[in-house]
Amino acid sequence: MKKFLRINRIYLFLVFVGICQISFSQQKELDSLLIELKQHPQEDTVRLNMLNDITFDYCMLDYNKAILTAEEAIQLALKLNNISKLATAYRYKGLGYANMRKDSAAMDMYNKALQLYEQMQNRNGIANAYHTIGMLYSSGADYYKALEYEQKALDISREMNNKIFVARILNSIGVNYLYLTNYSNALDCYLQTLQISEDIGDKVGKADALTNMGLVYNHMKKYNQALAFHQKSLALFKELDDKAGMANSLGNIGIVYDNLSQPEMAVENYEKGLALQKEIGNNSGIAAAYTNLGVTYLKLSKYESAYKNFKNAAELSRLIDDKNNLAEALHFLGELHLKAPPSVLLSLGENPGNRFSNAISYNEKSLQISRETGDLAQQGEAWHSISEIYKAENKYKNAFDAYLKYITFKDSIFTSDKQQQITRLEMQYDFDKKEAVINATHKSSQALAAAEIKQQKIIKNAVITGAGIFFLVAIFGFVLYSRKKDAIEKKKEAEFNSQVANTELKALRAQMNPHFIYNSLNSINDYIDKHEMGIATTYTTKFSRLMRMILENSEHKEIPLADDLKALELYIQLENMRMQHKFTYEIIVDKNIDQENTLVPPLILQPFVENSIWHGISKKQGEGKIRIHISKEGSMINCVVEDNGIGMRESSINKLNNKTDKKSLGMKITKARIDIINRLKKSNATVTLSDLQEGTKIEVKLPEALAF
Amino acid sequence: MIKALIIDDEQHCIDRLEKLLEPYTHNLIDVAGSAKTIESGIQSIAILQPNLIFLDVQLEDHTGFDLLRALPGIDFDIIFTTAFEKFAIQAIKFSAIDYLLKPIDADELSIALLKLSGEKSKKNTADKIDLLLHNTAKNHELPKKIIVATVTGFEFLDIDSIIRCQSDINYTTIFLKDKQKLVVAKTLKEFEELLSEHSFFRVHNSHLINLAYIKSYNKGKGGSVKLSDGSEIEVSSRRKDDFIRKLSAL
Repeated sequence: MKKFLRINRIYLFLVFVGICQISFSQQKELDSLLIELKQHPQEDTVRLNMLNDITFDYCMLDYNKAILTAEEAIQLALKLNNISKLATAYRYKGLGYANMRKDSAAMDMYNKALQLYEQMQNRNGIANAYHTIGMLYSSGADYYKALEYEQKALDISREMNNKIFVARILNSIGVNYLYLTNYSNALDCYLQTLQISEDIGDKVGKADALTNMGLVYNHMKKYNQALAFHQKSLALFKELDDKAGMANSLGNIGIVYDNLSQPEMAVENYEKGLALQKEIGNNSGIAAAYTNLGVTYLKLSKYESAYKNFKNAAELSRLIDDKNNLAEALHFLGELHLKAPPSVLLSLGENPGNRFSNAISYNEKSLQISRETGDLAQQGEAWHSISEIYKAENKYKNAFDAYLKYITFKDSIFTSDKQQQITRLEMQYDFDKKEAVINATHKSSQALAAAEIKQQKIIKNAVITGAGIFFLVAIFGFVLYSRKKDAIEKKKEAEFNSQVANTELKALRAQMNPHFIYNSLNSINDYIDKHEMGIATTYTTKFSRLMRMILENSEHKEIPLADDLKALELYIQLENMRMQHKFTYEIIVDKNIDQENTLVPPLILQPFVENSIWHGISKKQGEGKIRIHISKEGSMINCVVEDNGIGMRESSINKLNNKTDKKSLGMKITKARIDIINRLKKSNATVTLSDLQEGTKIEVKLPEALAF
Repeated sequence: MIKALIIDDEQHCIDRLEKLLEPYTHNLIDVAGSAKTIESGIQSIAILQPNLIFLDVQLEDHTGFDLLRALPGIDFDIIFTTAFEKFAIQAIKFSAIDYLLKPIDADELSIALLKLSGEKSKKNTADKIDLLLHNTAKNHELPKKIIVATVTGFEFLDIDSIIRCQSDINYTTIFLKDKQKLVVAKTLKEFEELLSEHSFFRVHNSHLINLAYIKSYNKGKGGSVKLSDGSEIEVSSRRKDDFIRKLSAL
């Protein structure tokens, strides 16, 4: 709360400076005016005007000279009976007093001016006077009275459509609302001020509004935003070469840094501000800067520096009758007495033995002044200090009493703080909305046009970018899509091919069956022709067993070698029976082949064996011999069928090439099957037929396939 | 002498079987009669009280199983005769009852008769028939039980209770849910044929496992599976793809 008070004090100073700045003039202007004045000793209206102008300029630079010059102007105006200029002179004298923080004297001057303006029915003057009196009430902590006067000033200014003045009054009203903790209204005022100032190109007004917004944010503990606003306003003041404004902004920036726990930065800004305040002789500003420096040094436990600053602040405040600052400086002096080590107190010329009584007395003085100004927070702080001091003195009864008082004040402040918090939330919402609306309307015509162009540009860019991205995505998507499609199609094609191949295989296997059946039926027929019926029956039974086996086997793509050989042997036995054991046979499987685990296409050897029997051995004189040998060569299974028949030269080859020969159909089918298997498995299975010295040799090489 | 009855709906089959049995009629088999329908078959059984029935699976619109169901009790041996009823053959294999495929091979017939004379217990036959009838009750349902011949006799097993089968050349060890082990004189291949329509899968040359008992699968070349009895079975790399396909189809 103490910071809050200091902020407002500094701010009030700013508002007064603002008044001066209505017709801002510079030292140069003053110098030339002073030369002109010397050249114009005649007591006439010209000189009166000059005196008034000079007073006004002095109000910025030298308050004492301002008062003196104003008095001269008053005398001259009375002499000339120029009421209008007299009013101006009273007003300027009041301004000088105000800047010197001699509020009651200032109020006298303004009341006199007000009377004159009313007499003249000068509405501008009336408004101006009301406004200034309002500010003086505000300075005296009578905020409701202040608001009353400000409202009168505002009404008149609005009637007259004096925008500059409306802005300034709104600013002041905002200050009063700040004091009354009505932040929503305060911000509302500042925003209106900002808008008007920008509309009319009033940089000073704008800078003031920015400062005030910074103050509100500071109070909302949004320090970074506060800092940004203060720095904006500082920049504007620099642009205007407004030292008072700069000093004020620097002070405010220092406070924000202090709140941000950056004491070095705070001190730096305070010192800069202090230097400027001294330059323009703003005692109130100087005093405030002293207090602020003291607080920061106290935090840093730099007691000597703190002590010096507080002492300066108290002295100056008493001189210029700045009660708020005085109460605060006294309170902190009390605090310092309580906290500083005895050695430091000694070196400061204070008796450490009297530290408690001194501390109490400082706080009691502070309390008294705070009561006059009605500053609850400051009273609370004083009571808190007093309680602490009694506690340190082991005067618990007194400490407790003081503490109870502190709590009372704290509670009342807390209640309003609580309310503030709620208000703050509402306000933030309102604020954002208002800001948006105001910004929107305010930046009308060309701003709007510019915004529109910018917006169109953005839209255009967005459309181009969007379209670009869309196309990129589309192209990328298309590439991905077609790639995936390709992959899928390739896979489909592969699947299709394999399906076709499998179907072909199945068809070929299926062809094996009728082929085999016809051949076998042929055999049976032949057998019945040549032999007795009883044995024919046995033959048929065996044949049916073989048939069953073959049908079952041909259902599968691959079957264990053992199964295929079993069927093959049964077939050989049948044929041998039919031929009355004309031949002998042997089936040899190498030991390194696991017959159960090695897979072969079903009926792969049968056509070759059939060929050997029918075309090799059956036509041969004498005993035939068939040898089947299964061996392993690397990763290939080598199946050899050898016979000692008549050989291919005379039979097989010719018949193989002759497509009408049914008997070699099985071999053709087998060759086709092996081709497809190679395609499917990417293997290199082969079938080779060769002539032996006696008979034929057929070699079927298959890639080794294991079930497990 | 074994009093035999032939039930078949085709006369030439009856004739053929009678002819094939001729060599045994003087000392082993007495072919007491034959029947061509279920009704006449039931009658003949009641009258003749045969010790053995050659029963055709397909009896016009019915089956030999229907005939058996119609009987009050079974106190005779049965040898099924069938041409190519795959389902029936499978069911008969499950119940370990003998069967002959038509046209009947004289050698196979003699083996069947030899086995018959060696067996004494009719009780077993009744149980086997019970199981067979149970397994064939609903054509769509897979059999629930299986009969296996052990050293001591026959064992009825819930298919669900088999965790896995392990091959030991010509023998197979069956591992059951209750930690019991059975050694059966059958190859693993035979069990594979019997059980692969159930949730069994041969993951390895010497391992047939019940997929329902898989606890986890560890990836690897072929990988390995952990079964609920704690055993870890290697999966052959060549079976991996089929195995995973079958697993995901569960």
